[in-house]
Amino acid sequence: MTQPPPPGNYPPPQPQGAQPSSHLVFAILTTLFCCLPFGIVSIVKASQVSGLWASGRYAEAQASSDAAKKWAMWALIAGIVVFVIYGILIAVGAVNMDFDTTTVTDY
Amino acid sequence: MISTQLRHNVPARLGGPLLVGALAAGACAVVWIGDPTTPGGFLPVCPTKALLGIDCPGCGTLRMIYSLLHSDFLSAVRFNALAVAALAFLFVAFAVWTYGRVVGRKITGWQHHRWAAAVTMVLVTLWFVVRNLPFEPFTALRV
Repeated sequence: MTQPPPPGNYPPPQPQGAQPSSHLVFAILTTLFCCLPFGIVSIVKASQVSGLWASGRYAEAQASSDAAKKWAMWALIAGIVVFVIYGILIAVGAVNMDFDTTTVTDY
Repeated sequence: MISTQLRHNVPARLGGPLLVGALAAGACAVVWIGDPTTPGGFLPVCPTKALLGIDCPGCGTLRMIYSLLHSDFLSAVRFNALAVAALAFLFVAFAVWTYGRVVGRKITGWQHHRWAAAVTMVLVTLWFVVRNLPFEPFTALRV
C-alpha cells in the first residue's frame, strides 16, 4: 500500500537556481534593429517569466524564458536574412531605393 | 558561476563586453557610412514598413542612431523617441554588465526587475499604436 506516487502529480521540484533570464535586452535589441514582430513576441514572452516564477510555476517560467530567447533568436535571424537579401539585391542592381520622383523636363 | 569566473583573469572576463562594444562600434560605423536619412543607401528599409506600410516600434532607429552620431538629438527623438530611451537603458545594461565582469560577480540590472519586461511590453505596444494613429497630432510621429 505504500506505492510511490505516480510521477507527474507533483509540481516539479523547485530549481535551486535563480529565476530564469527573461532575455529582455536581447528582445529589445531585436525589436529595435530587426524590426520584426518576432521581437515583440519575445518581449511578451519575457514579460511572463517573473510572474510565473513568483507564483511558483517554475517550469512555465522556464518555458517562457526559453520561448523569449527562441523568438528573439528568430527575429535576429530574420533581420540578418533581410539584410543579406537586401544587400544582394542592391549589389546586383535589382532594387533601386532611390525613389526619384522628380519629373525631368527638357526645355 | 562566480567561481568559474574568478578562475579567469579580468581580461578574459572582459571578452564578452569587448565583443559587444566592438559590434556596436562597427554598427555605428556602418550607419554613419550608410546614412539612412538619405534614401537610396545600402541600409535596408524596415521590412515591416516596406511590406505593410505601417511604422513598427523600431522604425526610424537607424536614422535615430545616425542623428545621434551627428549630435542631432532633436532629430533623433523625432525619428524614434522610444528607441532613444531604449538606447539609454541598453547602454546602462551594458555598463552594469561590464562592471559586473570587471569585479567578477553578477550584478542585477534594471532588466532583471520584476516589472521590466511588462513595462517594456506596454510601452512598445503603446508606441506601436500611437505612431500609427491616422489623425493629428499623431501623424507627426510617422517616419
